[in-house]
Parts: sequence; C-alpha cells; structure tokens
Amino acid sequence: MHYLSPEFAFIFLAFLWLYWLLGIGSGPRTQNYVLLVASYAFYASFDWRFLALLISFSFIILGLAGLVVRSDGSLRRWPVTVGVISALVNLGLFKYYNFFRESFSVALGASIETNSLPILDILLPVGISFYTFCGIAYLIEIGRGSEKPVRWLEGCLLFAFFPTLLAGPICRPKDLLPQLNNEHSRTIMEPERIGLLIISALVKKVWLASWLAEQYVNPVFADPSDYHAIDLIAAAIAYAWQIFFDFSGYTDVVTACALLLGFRLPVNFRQPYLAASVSDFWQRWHISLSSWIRDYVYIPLGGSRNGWLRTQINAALAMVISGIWHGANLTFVVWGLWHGLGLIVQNCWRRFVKIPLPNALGKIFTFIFVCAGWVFFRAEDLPHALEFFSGLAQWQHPAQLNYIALFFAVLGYFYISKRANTLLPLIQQVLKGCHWSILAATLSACALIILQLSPSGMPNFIYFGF
Amino acid sequence: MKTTHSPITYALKTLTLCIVVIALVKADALSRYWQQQWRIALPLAGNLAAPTRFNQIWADYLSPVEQFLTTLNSRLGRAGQALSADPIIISPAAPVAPIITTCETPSATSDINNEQITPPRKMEWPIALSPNDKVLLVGDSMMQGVAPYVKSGLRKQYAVESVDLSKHSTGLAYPGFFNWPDTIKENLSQAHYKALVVFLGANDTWDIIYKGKSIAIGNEFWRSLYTERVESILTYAQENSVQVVWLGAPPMGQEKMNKYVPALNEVYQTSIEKFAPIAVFSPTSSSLSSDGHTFNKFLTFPDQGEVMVRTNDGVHFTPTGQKIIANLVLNHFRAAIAENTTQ
Repeated sequence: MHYLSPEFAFIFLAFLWLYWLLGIGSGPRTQNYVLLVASYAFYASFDWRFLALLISFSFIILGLAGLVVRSDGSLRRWPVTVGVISALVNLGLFKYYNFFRESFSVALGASIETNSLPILDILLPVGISFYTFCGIAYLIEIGRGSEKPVRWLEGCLLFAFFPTLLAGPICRPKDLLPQLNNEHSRTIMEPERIGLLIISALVKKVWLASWLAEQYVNPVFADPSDYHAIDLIAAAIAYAWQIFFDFSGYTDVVTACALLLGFRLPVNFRQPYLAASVSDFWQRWHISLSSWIRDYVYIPLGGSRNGWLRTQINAALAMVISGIWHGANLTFVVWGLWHGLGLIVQNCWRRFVKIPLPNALGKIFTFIFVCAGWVFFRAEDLPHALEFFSGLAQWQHPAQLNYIALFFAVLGYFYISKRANTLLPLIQQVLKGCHWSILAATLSACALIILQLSPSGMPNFIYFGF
Repeated sequence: MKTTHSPITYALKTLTLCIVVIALVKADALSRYWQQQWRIALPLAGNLAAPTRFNQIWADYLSPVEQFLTTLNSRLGRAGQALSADPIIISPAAPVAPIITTCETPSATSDINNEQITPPRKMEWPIALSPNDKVLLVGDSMMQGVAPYVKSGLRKQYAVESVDLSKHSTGLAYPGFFNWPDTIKENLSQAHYKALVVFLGANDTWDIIYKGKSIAIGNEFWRSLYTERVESILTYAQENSVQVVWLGAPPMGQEKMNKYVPALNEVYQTSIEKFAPIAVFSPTSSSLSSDGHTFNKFLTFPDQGEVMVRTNDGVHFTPTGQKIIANLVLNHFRAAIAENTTQ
C-alpha cells in the first residue's frame, strides 16, 4: 500500500477523522497510541515479519538507550557502541549479505569447490535503511548527552512513524521527539500548503516521473547500445529529473501526511539542480541523509580538523558510505566515489587554482557532473553503466528522442526552479482565504487533470528500494 | 477551543470532498485498478459511476486535453513507439533451408479480409532471422527485465531490431486494465513483424472478474475465457504470418500464485498446440528450477556457486535469472543469411 494509492487515500482519510476525534477528546498521548498502532498496521501490510523486526529493533535500541544515563547523570559509552554495532549488523545482514556472499563466491570460485558462506534466504524489509539510521542517530545523541531517553511509546513511534517509515526523511530525535512529547493539543498546520504539497506530489511523481521513465529513461537504459549519443545524453538528463521528481514527490506527499497529523518534517530538498558546486548539491539533495552522513560519519572521521589531505579522504569516505547506504550494488559504491572525487576536485580547484567560477558556469558543470553520476546510480550493474558511457561515441544510429524539446524543457525547468520559492508561497496566500469547498473543488480539478495526463498503472517509488 | 479545531475541520472537510469527487469521477478507473490490484470487484463502484456519469462528463470535457497530450507525448517522447509506426517495408523473405520443421501457414488473412492478402510464408524453427526482420516482445514486468537482454542479443547476433511493449501489472486476466490481445492486434497490423515473443502469467494466477462475477481460476469457465484470450493473440499472429514464441510462466515463490502456474501453462500449451505451425511453447520452469517445477531462489552454477536468480518477491528475476530466460528466447532464433552463405 503506497502513499499515492487509492487504498491509502481511503484508509488514511478514515484514520484522520478517528485520530482528530480522539485528539479532541483525549489529547496527544492517546493520539500517539493510535499513531503507533496505525504505523505498525501499515508496516505489517507489507509483511508481518517486517513488523516483527522493527519492533525487535525498537526494543533493543530503546533498551540500550535507557542504560546510557547512570543514576548520577553520567553517561555510559558501551550501550551506544553495542547499539550502533547491532543496528549496523542487522542492516548489513538483511541488505548486504547476499551481495557479499555472491561477490566472495565469484572471487574465490576458481580456488574453492564449495561456497565459503551459506545461503540465507532473507527478504529486505522496506525502510530498514531509514529506521536504522534514525535509531543510530537517537542512540548517539543520547550518548552525547544532547538528548534524554524517551518513553517507550514515543521512542517506538520515532522509528515507526508511518509517514517517514518507508523512505524518510530520516528524522533525528530533535526533529520529531519534541513534537511527540508535546502535551499541548495538536492542530493541522497550513491546510493550503497541504493541498499544494499533494498536488505537487501528483505532478512530480504520478505524472512527470512516470512519464519520463516510460518515454525517455527506461527504453534507453535498457539497451543503450541501440541509441544515438544524443539520446543517451537526453536519457541521463531525463533520469536526473525522474529521480528528483520521484523522491521529492514522495517527500511532498509524506510531508503533507505529517502535517495532516499535526507534525512538521525536516526539509529534504532545496532545488538541488540549482547547485553551483558539488558541496552545494549535497546541501540541497536528500538533506536528511547528507546531514546525517556529515554529523555521524564525516565529523567523527575527523572532518576538516586534521589537515587538508585528511579532509579530502574523509569527504570521499563519507560519500562512498552514502553510496553504499543506497544498496548492495557496486554501482552505488561508484556513484558515491564519483561524488567523493567531485568534492576533492572542487576543493583542489579552490585551494590551488583559486579562480572562482561564474555562478552560471558552476551550475552547468555541477548539473552535468550530477547527471553523469546518476548513470551509475540507474544502471543495473557496472558493465551496463560503462556500456552507457561508451555509447556516447555512437553516432551511427538515428537519434530517436526529441532532444530539442528536452533542451527547451531544461530551460523551462530551471526558470521555474529559480522562481519556485516565491511562486509557491504566493499561491498558498491566494488559497488561504478560500472557502473549504472552493479549495476542495480546485484541488480535485487539478488532481483529476493530472491523473488524466499520467501514464496508467500504479507507480512505484524508487527510494522504497533503499 | 474553536480556533484550535477550525483548521482541523477545514482540512478534513476539504480532503474528504476531494477524495469523494475524485472517486466518483474516476470510478471506472478505480474499479479497474481494484480488480487488478485486489482481484475483486470494487463494492459500489458500478453503482457510483453509472447514475452520476461524472466520469463520462469529465472525459468529454477533457477529450481535447487528452488529444493535446497524446500529440505532445508523441512529439516529445521517445521514438520507440515510432519504431512500430515506421513505414511498413515488406521485403521478400530470403529463401532459407528449414532446420527442424517446415510448414506453411494457411492464408488466414485472405479468408478474413480480402483487401489484405498476405502470401503464405514458410515457417521454420528455429526462426530464421534476416537483418530486415523485426521482433515484437510483449509481456508483464517479468518480460520488462528480460526484454533488454533479448533485444541486445537479437541485435548483436542477427542485426535484428525488436520492439519491447512489455508493461508491468498486465496480463490476460484483466483486459479492462490492459488489453493485450487488442494491443498486439494493433501492433501486428501496423508493422511487419517476423516473430512475437510472449511472456505473461505473473498477474494472471487469480480469479477472473467477468461481468461483475468472480470466475475461479482453474475451473472450466475460467479455462474457456483464458483460452479465448490466448488464442485471440495466436490468431492475430497467424493472420499476419508472425511466428510466436510463448514462454511458460515460471514457478513462483508465493504459494498462492505457484498453485495456479500449472493451470496457466496448460492453457498456453494446449492453445499453442492448435497453432503449432506458427507457435511454439517454451517452458521456463526447467531452466529456473532444480527439479523442473519447484520454485528456486538460488541456482548452482559451476563457476559461480549458488547464485540468486529470483528476487525477494518470488516473482521477478535477478539479472542472472533474466539472462537465463533471455538465452532461452534467443535459442529459438537463428540467422537466415549466414546459413544461406554456408550452404
């Protein structure tokens, strides 16, 4: 059951009425209980075993967190260490075991007769990467003394909060716990913005991402050697859009869901393709992950405290870990490495060349760099990615995609992106004075037009796979 | 208290009205989605849609927008669709020696439609491909994974172009959601294809909803409905002298699905036997199962050890599994020109 499916819409609507009726009668604590039950039911709808794993994970992390603070207020380190290692082992087992087993088997195939590692027939629980990082952040913050252990109910809800459970944003304790612990009655914030977010999600995910995938991306990535070089460039750009529309569309809909429940989620995207450098891109793309990597990987590795050279190594390592987080495939490792190298080149330029690039040029270079990286991200495996790049020398096929239209669409996209931050509040302001029935009619009409224009079928979210 | 709750009622009333309006207007689409997703008729869907006719009114108003978008799609989108819309060039088939069997298709087209006379062509197995030939690939999400390898293999081995129409969540059980027989008929009539490869079944191991009633999979009426759909595809292929490779449904990792895989394969095989001169049934279970019928997530290879061939959902294939099926398909083809040269 996905966030943009009809089933979710019906059930969520019924749940909202119940949730707010209970909230008015019994207050936020009762709402938290209802939220936890709903979150667990939602997760169990994918597979009850996923829920069993999530509950076990929550109990172990919360139990260890409870052991960190001694009665005299001093802090123990071992529960944090044990908790972080346990969480990573759990993630590694479910997400990476079979990948490493097969890689080892291939590497050792010639020298051994039987596999050195046994087969484990395990499912990858959806959202495991997200709640694992959420749990690790919670434990580390408790260990640092910046957060205090919370009650079981709120702790379980921090990991299981259903709007963020499947694909984030990765909530830090400071993002969600103050809202969960707040004793004051909740309310629905910015109803007009919720409407805009839902429409934005439909436009981005149901229409544009699906259309781009169907028309430009999937056919070309499936068989790059069949296309002209200019088609490959068009497909790489189209995929950059597809993944942005897909993931930011997802973020919009879950932000709307959270607002409807009376919660604010952290911002995950800030017009990433307007970035003027690689580091700027990472301050705009999947912010909840990049800031997590910065705070819990890059800074603990030493950050920029141990000299210029070590800073570059730390940056590259952090990016590779970010890549590995996305999945058990060498393509993600190379994608992370690509961005790590990009950061190093950028830092070298700033240190040795010292000529600042004009802003427009920086944006163009960054966009090209990011698009090239997405090829690794999208490719099924490394040979496919290399086949795609080697296809850039192919000029014998006739060009099949409408790259001229795409070029103008690129210009249009950047024009709108630059103005989105002023345009959206303006629309929100206009909608603010509307009667609810007029707002409903406007939103319904918009949604119906988008649904009419979208490709058929229920689109899947790319980031559910991570 | 009032100020606290007013945004709540405002938002909830707005959202409720939106969902009700969208459900009413899109009742037909919702009903089709429900059938395809949950294999049951959506309660009240027909009742809601019929009296209000919102959906029809909406469709009427939006038809210019739809037409505009269709034009835009064709101009902005890929030319993969255009490949099948290319001018139809029927080059005379190169005379090739038969390898396994040789037979002639009845000139069914001329019987049915006197305006379009297709001369009988020799049918050979494996299918002899010349560089001007085209192959049509259809199927569900299983085929979506396999098709790129088949396309690549056909191009590299035989310099033959192929068109991949595979679409996820589709099958023959829910034609209201997506109609494969019509789609294939339309494509075969628009361009000249040498062969058609079909790989379906992942979305068909369920009851069929027929005139609002659920027809249990495996029973006689289900069999006749499903057979009719399979045979309609084979008939179109026969009318257009297109050779068909129909892949059997593989064993599934989900017990509910796996239980009915034999029923699907039986229909495929029985139907194809009736069209034997132009069609061949190619079981996949022997390539994907250690004993030929049990679901195996891992297979053992001499050089790689035990490798995962099926994904966690128990339906789809890993790249290794996709390559196995692709090779199975490619084994049904051979080069026409190369053999002529050698003879």
